Amino acid sequence: MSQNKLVEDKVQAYLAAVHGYLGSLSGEEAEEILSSIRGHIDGELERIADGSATLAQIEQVLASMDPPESYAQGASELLDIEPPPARFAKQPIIGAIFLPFGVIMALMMFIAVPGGGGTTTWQWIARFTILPLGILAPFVCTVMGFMGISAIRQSQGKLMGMPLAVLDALFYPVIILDALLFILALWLFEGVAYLNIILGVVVLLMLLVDYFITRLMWRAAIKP
Amino acid sequence: MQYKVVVEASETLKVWITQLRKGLLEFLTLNILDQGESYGYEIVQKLKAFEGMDITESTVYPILARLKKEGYAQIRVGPSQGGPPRRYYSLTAIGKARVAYMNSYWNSLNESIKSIRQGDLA
Repeated sequence: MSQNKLVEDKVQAYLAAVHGYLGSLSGEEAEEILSSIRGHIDGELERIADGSATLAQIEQVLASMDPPESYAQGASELLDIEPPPARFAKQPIIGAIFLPFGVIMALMMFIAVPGGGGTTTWQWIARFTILPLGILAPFVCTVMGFMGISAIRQSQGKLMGMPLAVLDALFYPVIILDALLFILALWLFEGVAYLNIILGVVVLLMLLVDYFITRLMWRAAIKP
Repeated sequence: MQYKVVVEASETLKVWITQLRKGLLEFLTLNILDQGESYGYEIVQKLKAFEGMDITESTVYPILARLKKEGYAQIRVGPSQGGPPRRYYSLTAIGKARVAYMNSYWNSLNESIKSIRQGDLA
């Protein structure tokens, strides 16, 4: 790739980045700003370059200029321009897509299949689709949830979807914790009288713990 | 005349400074254009001389675009010295009227502020 093309690509990348921060400005205003910036870059290059600009020179020029995100602040502070609307973060959406598969797989394991022996077609389909997705679901959902929380916190208002991200991050860990607590309770209180009542109390306590875990996580996620 | 910031502004002061810059930036840009046709880079360099205003290209170019959109400034694409063509900004007739009004208002405001600061409150 020629030097000129590389230089031009750098300039276009910078202009594209600035464009992304120009919010709800009209196309005419945005184009005007970008043309001015282009003129600025050309002016700086004309000042420092002898003939065609080198990659090092364009990088020097771009480094001396305001970063693209400063146009969002500059424009909104000085011109009463609203920043672009927040968009939904993609990580919580991916997590939410995987979330039900673990539940479906768990349900399939506990629902009896009517009819005689032999594997039906839908069971074959389920084995090779829902089963692997169900195994992956707890990991993908949880990881995407935490990644979503981190991305939204760092986006400075450009990304939204915190409630879904927190749901993804907590869903499986909380369910697994509840399951472990329930199994522990069953083991501890085996053979004890009024087992059903005790288990009912244990479930209520679990729900209370779930509530406090969720509240703690939410507060940590939205804390500035 | 240059104004030098001598103390570091607290957060509330920064808000006040931002609001002040908001009003002054257009005023200063119009006054520079009132002195003659100028291109964007040149306007930025002139405004950068104002210490305390924190003016860089990301504050000036949106203002220039807004002035053009509102009809106070116009653009002429002209040659540069050996480089790509330049975009020269100049005031339109309504731009000149606007800056004349702003200057008149600024002069009377300046006098009032001077009086208040000197304690002439009668």
